[in-house]
Amino acid sequence: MYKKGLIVVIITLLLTIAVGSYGFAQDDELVVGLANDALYLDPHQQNETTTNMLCKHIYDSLVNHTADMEIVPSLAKSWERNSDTEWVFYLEEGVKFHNGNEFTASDFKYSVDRIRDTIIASHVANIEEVTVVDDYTLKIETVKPYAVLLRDLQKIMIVDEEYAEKVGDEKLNMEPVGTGPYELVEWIKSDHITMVANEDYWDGAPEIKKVTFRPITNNATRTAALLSGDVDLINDVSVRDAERIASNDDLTLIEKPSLRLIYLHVDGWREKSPTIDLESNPMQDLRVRQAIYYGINVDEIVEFTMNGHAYPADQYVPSTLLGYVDGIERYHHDPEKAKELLAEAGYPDGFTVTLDAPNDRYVNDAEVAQAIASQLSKIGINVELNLMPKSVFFDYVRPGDKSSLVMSGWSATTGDSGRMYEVFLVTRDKYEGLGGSNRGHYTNDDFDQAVIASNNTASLKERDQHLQEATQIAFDDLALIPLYYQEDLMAKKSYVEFTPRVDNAVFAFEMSINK
Amino acid sequence: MAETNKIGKDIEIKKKNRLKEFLESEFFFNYKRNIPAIIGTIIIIIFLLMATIGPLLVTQNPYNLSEIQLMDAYKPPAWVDGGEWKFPLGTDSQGRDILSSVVYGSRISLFIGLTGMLLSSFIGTVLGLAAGYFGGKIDSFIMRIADIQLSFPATLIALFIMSIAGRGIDNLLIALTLVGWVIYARTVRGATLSEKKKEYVEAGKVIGLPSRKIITKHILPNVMTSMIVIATIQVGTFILTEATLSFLGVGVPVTRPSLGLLVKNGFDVLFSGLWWASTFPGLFIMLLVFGINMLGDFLRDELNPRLK
Repeated sequence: MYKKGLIVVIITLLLTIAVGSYGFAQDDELVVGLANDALYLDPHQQNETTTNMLCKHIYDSLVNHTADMEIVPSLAKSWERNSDTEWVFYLEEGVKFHNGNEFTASDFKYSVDRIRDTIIASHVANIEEVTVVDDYTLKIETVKPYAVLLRDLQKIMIVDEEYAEKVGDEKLNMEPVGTGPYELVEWIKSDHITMVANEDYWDGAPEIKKVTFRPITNNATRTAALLSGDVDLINDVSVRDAERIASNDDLTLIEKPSLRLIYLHVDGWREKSPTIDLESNPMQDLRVRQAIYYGINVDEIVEFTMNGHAYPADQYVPSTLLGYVDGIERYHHDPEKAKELLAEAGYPDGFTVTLDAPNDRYVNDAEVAQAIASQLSKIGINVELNLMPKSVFFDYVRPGDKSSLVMSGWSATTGDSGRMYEVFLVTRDKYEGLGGSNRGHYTNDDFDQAVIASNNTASLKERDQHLQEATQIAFDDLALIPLYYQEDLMAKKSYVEFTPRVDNAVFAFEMSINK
Repeated sequence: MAETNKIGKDIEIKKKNRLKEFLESEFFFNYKRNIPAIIGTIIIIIFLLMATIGPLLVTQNPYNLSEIQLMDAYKPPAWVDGGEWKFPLGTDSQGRDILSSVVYGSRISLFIGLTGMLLSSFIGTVLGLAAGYFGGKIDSFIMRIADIQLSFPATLIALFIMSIAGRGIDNLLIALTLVGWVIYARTVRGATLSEKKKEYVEAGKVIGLPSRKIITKHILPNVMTSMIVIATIQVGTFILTEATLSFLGVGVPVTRPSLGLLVKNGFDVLFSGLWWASTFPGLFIMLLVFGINMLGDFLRDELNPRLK
């Protein structure tokens, strides 16, 4: 009797294993381990990388970025420019939202209007008016001649007007309906997001029929999940695990320079800084900002904290982007010079300041923040750390009223420095839709004018010149202290095939499985 | 003069007698033969020494940011290739010496464990005595709060408090006290209830002693033994709770790592072959809690009347 029981148990176990491994062997299912969860699946609530990336599975825009950041048609099949400020778009016909409603021009107009009241209003700040000519023709009027409208349109994901109006923000977020290649099945926050292919997708159904995104915030756990076969692909591979993955035959490590700059936002333009207990704000003095820059040893951070997987930044955008100025020299670590500058500025004994930084957003962010604190302590600046998870961090630092030093990152996914300057460095509350995240309260009229001029030209060359001018002014003022560009590290099972993207996005609809 | 000398001598003799009494007691007799308890004591003494004079002996003050060098990050232990004797147990991501960090970290862990225990035992005992002695509404009120609190896991409550209050040793102590008082209150209340009915308490009441006196002078000493046992075990529990909270990222500040935070920092790279950064702090936590529990077990066996 006992033996029989045992045999039954063993058979059951074997069956379980067999069925289980059959489950893994599906050729059109993909499980992705992500370093972050989406904050929203409502595409108009937050401009954040993971959120945008996951929303792009569910929603479409008028145009798209290719893997190399070229603009290609999406829901707009073609367009033309009638004048410097007037564009006409011809839309794909017969595109259906997941709920069966048809996509028409008014859905786009509705989405633009909806964005105007959100914190991502800067996406549409350059759009004066959207006119619905007919169901499949749109006219967009820009505020001024604007060369990079298409890059903005790429970010405007289109919701179904009827559905959004009917269900309201809350439900739109949890049960999103778009025209995109995937439909949401289930979103269990911090656990998984499951999507299935939209078989009626207007541009052809994606090859991968079911994709599950699992936020695994711990680096070691994420790597372990890939090694054990729980997931097929992970992003933001820990710099400590890179070599280990590269040496594994079943896995492929994808390394490439990222567009993401890690920088310090310095509160240098207010009389008093919230975390500095002094009568006046020492960082108003350019010499103090220079001292901070000289005090930080970026090379050491890149080598030891990032294990070599990063590139010291010499300015705010990589050399391939608009706004890059040839010949700007970064400050190399020089603690003696830093101390001299502090003494000249009247702070020979330094001061105490709090550095706000996220601890689960960028590669090794908490450790980099600690390294900066340790390096600055050697020139006499005592840095208290305020490390927060990203869910707290971004809301905490956005108004800028509680912060003196903020470490954060920016990925120039629009292909130039303009958007970064608009969001972070244009004077706060002076121009509509600009300066919304100016955490350092930077204000320089020449800079503002250069950025605004860059938006008022229809020529990319002129835009580049204006942005270069802006870069030079901001760097001379040290409005931001650039630290380094991350290296994007992704790892996949070798059977997952796709072209890595410059913006590091993981798009299931661009992937296939070849076992 | 002569008079005071004589009194002094009397006290001395009394002290000596006490010590002698203790050494000859059944308690000490059992202790001498209980090897785990002795091992526990030795471990605790080593940790206490480490916490008090250890900082003088180690090479680095890991809390002083200007003493640590990023260049030294992730050096392996001295006996492994690439290690240096300057960092006997290796270094962490910031170039902190693990041995120094462990010494400073156990200081924080012990401080939190002991202070947390003292605070919660004080509050718990006061409330327990009040509930047991006065009974009625006071009793129901205090005990209902205790019941509600006990229905949630202690770590969860502490986690909740820390998430609201934020990192910091002071907040940790508050959180630990708030989760730790219940067990004293319940035990002390139970003991008080049974003591209260005994003749000596009745006698005290009859001769008109104030409640305060009866409680402090007569009941308290008799409920003390069970408290000592709980207190010893609780120091260990608190050290573990602190480690858990720090591991989850809501405990001590990152620039002043306790043992738990050291384990967490190392855990992130454990998988990448940098095992020493979390293994050693983890071993030290284990050893410390092991020592405390060994002694605690012995005390429970000795002092708990039900096990005799």
